[in-house]
Amino acid sequence: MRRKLIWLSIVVPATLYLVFFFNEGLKAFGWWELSSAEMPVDSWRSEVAKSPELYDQLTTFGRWTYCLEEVETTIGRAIPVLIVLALGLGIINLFSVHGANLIKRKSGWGYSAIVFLSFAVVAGALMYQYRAIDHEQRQVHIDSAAAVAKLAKANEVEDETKRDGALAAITDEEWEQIHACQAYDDAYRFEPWRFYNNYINFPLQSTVMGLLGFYITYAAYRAFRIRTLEATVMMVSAAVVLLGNDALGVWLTHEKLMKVADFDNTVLNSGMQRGLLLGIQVAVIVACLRMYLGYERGIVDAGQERE
Amino acid sequence: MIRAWMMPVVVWVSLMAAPVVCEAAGAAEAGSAVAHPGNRAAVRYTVYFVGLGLIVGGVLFAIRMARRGMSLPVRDIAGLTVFDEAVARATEMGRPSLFTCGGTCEMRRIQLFASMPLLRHVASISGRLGNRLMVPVGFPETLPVHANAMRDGYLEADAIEEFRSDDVRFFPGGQFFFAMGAMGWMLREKPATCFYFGHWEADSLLFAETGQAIGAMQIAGTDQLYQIPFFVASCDYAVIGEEFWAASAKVSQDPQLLGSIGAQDLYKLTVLVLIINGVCLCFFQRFTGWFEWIRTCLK
Amino acid sequence: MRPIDFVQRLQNIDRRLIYVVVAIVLGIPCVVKFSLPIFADRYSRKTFEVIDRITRDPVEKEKVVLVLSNWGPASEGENGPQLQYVLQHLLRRGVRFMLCSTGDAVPWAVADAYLEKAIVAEKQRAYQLGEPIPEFVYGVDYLKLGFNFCTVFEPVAKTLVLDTRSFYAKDIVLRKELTDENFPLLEHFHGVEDLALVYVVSHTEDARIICGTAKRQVPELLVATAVTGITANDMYPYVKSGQLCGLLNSSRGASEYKSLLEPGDVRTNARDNSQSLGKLLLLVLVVLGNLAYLLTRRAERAGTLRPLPLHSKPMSDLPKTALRMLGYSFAAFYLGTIGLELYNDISSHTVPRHRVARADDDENKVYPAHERMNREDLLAEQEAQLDDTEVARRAQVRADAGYALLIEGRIGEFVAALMTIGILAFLLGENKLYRVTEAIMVGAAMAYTVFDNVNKQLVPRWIQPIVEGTQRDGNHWNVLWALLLIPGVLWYFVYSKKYRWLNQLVVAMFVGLVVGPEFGNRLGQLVPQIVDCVQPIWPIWPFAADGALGWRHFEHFTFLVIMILSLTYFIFFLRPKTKAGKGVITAGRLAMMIGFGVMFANTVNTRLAWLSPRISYLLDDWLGKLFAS
Repeated sequence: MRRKLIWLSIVVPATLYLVFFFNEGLKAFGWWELSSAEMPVDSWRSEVAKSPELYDQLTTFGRWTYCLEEVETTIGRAIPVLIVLALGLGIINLFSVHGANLIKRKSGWGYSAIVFLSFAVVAGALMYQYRAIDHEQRQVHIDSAAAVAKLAKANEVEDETKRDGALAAITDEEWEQIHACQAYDDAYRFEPWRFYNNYINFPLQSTVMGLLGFYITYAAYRAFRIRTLEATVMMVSAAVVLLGNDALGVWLTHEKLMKVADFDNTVLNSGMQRGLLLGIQVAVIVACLRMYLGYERGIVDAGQERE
Repeated sequence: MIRAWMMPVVVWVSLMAAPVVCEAAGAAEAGSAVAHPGNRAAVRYTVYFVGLGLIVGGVLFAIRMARRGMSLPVRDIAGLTVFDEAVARATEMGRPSLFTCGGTCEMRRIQLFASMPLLRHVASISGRLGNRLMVPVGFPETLPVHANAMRDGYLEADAIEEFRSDDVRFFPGGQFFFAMGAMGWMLREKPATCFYFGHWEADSLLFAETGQAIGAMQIAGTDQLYQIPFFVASCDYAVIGEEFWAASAKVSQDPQLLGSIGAQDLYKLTVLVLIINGVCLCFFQRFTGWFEWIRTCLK
Repeated sequence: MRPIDFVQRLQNIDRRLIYVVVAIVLGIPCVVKFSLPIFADRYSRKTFEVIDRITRDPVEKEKVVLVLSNWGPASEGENGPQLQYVLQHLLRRGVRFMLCSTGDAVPWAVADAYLEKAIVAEKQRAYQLGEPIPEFVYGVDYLKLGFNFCTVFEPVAKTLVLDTRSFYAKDIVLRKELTDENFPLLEHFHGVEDLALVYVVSHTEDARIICGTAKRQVPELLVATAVTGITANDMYPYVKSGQLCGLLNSSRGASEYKSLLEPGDVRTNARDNSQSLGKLLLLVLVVLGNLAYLLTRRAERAGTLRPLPLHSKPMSDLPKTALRMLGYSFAAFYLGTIGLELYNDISSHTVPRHRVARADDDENKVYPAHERMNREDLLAEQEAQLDDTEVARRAQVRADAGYALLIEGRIGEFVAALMTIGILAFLLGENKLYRVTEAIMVGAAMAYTVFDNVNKQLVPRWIQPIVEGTQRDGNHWNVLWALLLIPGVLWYFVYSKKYRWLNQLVVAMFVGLVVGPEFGNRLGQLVPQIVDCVQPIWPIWPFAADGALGWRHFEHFTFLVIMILSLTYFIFFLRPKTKAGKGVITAGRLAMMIGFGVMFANTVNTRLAWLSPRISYLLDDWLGKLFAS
């Protein structure tokens, strides 16, 4: 019973998406959307359109295709929400691992303390940002929205006289609101989100990505040895494209290597990729079919007690 | 007398002759029919429907034949035959093993679900040999997927008491933060064997080089073409492209799954035959009328 | 040590030494200035000609170009210049365009910044050439659509292109509806048929997704793309099949594009040179390693040398003394530089920043990269920018805010430099600085992930609709979103022994949600790829009567051979026993190795493009400002 239920949980959404896929084709084919005035004169569609009953039936059928689109959009909206609801699993996992380190004073417990401290500081700062700063900013803008819109509309008027008139129509109270909004926007505020993103998040991410430059150089030095024919071929191909696609290499070889690298890139590489991709597409379809039919181990029968 | 070799010849000749017959029978010219997007969509989706139907039918047929003991053989895939040896090496050295799907293998990636049978298999071997298995995870929603696969593996080996939920560890922050956290974990624990199977992007090289730095034996598998060179360069074994998709069938040795691999191979041959035929039709300049119209619709 | 022993050691140089050499070599162009000529390849030329062709065709010129910019600061080294030069091209040729992005505010922020750079660059160019300074009018010459929040691009790609007006609804500058009355540019754009080109600047395969979705319905739509080096690997087959009409590959493609935009005037800059030297170093190391390998192999065969183990030895721990000395030296240097910089700032009451180019700059003069600003300088700057009526009210506040931002940036630079060096310390192996940085990263990332997702996803997409649904004049159907709590709670049953299987229901549902679309996606990719392979290969030699046509056939023939060999390698039941059969399998493996070599080389572009900005950040932003003082 459990296995059947789990298997149905796979089959129902998968089948729905298959229906959505073919529905796209029905929609693209949807000639019933066109009124007969728009039909090409010699099209066979215009023959069908001349029969009102048949046209009505097919139009009704065509409306169902739009309902299915709504279902697809709704599911598309639900998926990110479901994924965010699983965040708690990550928090529980992180806290249980580092909490155990801290409580049992395992080796490296100090670093677990730093994890909690860092979490608390950033969480507190972001809470302050979202609740206090963003809320305050929203409030200031809401209060002055009408006045700011009136000013913007006045400034768009092309005729000078009319523009002056529109500006004069703005009351003193409205000018105060506009100035308050401008003063708020002009003033400096420490925003934790901005500081964290600009000076912690992005530099960390960029540096981690930068490590790849070091690693790729060492990987090439270590791996590209003329031990086997395959390694030699890979090395030569890489060297040709490296030099051929680089200003220094092109300058040294007077553009000749650029043409060879171009051929390597667009013909040899494309051919290999196409061959692999054709096989991969077929393999993925078959693998998906195995999962859909419940043959794949570890999906339908996972997580179930056997003892 | 009819011989087996005549069948493919007959099929091939028919495919070559079909356009000639159609033209002789006065088939409709391409023209305004192609111009209408609805007609192009109709042809395209009909081909998809028929193609999908053939694939489904073929796989079901192959699985049925496999149950009767009739299936095409599947050659050994180098990286998959050394799982036992790899975990045994780690056990002898007194160091753990590590299995990860990468920092971009989120719940929406099909590669995650294709890797779980392999995690289960590795966990089963680890349970049997009494080796610790570390599983770093990049997305919280994939925690139960990994935990269940790992637990099932230990259950299979009757070693559920060896399963430690702390060894399925979440590193937040996305691809690169996950990589740095997991790599730090690797540097501290020094796993002797590392398995990298799943959807990989730039973090593939980070893991592979860290594994090299700690002297681990590394077995990797992915269908992401531009990460394969790094796995080939840095890992001891690389399971590439379709081999990754056949891996779960190969490690399980389940005849039904292996039967589906046989069907897959026949589809690839079909694709090859279609392409070669198409090119030959161009060669003999027989690619006009109906077939040019179909080609325009499908492109 | 014998010379041959030294040569043997060259095969196995400590990785840390190589990392140091890489850092030094990449930093050389920041100090030693030189430049090389740039040669544009056919893909950059093709991309350039796409826009020029629009300019020359009177019908196409009336249409609009949609520029989609989907990248972040991480790939700025590659995507930033690509976007800037394409926008400059569009501005210079007077082609109307709309700039947009998806995801969140970050891609939009960088795209907007580069649009402003492009506008300033065009004006400066006109000033330097003595031409009238062009006025680019917002809403007439260009339009900023802003960003539309989404986590995954695929579901929105089709609507973005086929129904741009309703997808964005309003512009991001004036927050007005996208109507002809509000924006004269939109008189030339009512639907996808009025799009002359869709230009995608991205670090991922967004252009391929557009080809697979929107272009499937509108085959005549032109799509071009500018991507990072690694993504370009995937894009070449689409250019070859004609689905993409242009491709710029990484920062090299951007430089080549610029050389076409300003012929005769463009040479490589420090960043380009940094990458060139990095690649050269890589090749030198490969040659060195192979020479050492060949020489030692000869010595091993002659019996004069013991062979090295096949696998390189693991990285050894740095000696404790060396690590301690390194740590103390770094701490002293870092704290010393902070102290020195703070002293400079306080004593001079100024804060350094990157020098802002001015319209009256002398083109024959080389200005320093940084300038020191005090409150008075900032006040003067604000007074020049504001209207007379606003100066008294706003100038002081803005100047104070600017000064405070500079101080915040200063502190931020110290933090960023510490974080950067903490991560780079990982290259030395396990050490305390790296562990502290990692611990900070883990905790901070967890907090950020939680708050960001709750604030940007959960609240607006789930909680707010439910709350609105409970209100009198709200859409009551929205209350049904609360049902998502049921599968949401099922996640946590993984911790229950008895009911763990309930968790498997939600996991299985996701399996279905992933598997279902894959059928359509893969079929949608497979069929056009098969069809694209079917092209004539006659005549098969390159020297046909009309040479260009013959060369294309030869290319396609080679393409087919490589493709067939690669595909045949993965037919699992094939276990040839004959020499010919084994030869085919070997040929397939070699064909794949050629492709892997090409992909490796293309990836090197991207990786070095990510590293050189970090090196130049440490040298320019952090140390550069110190020495500039």
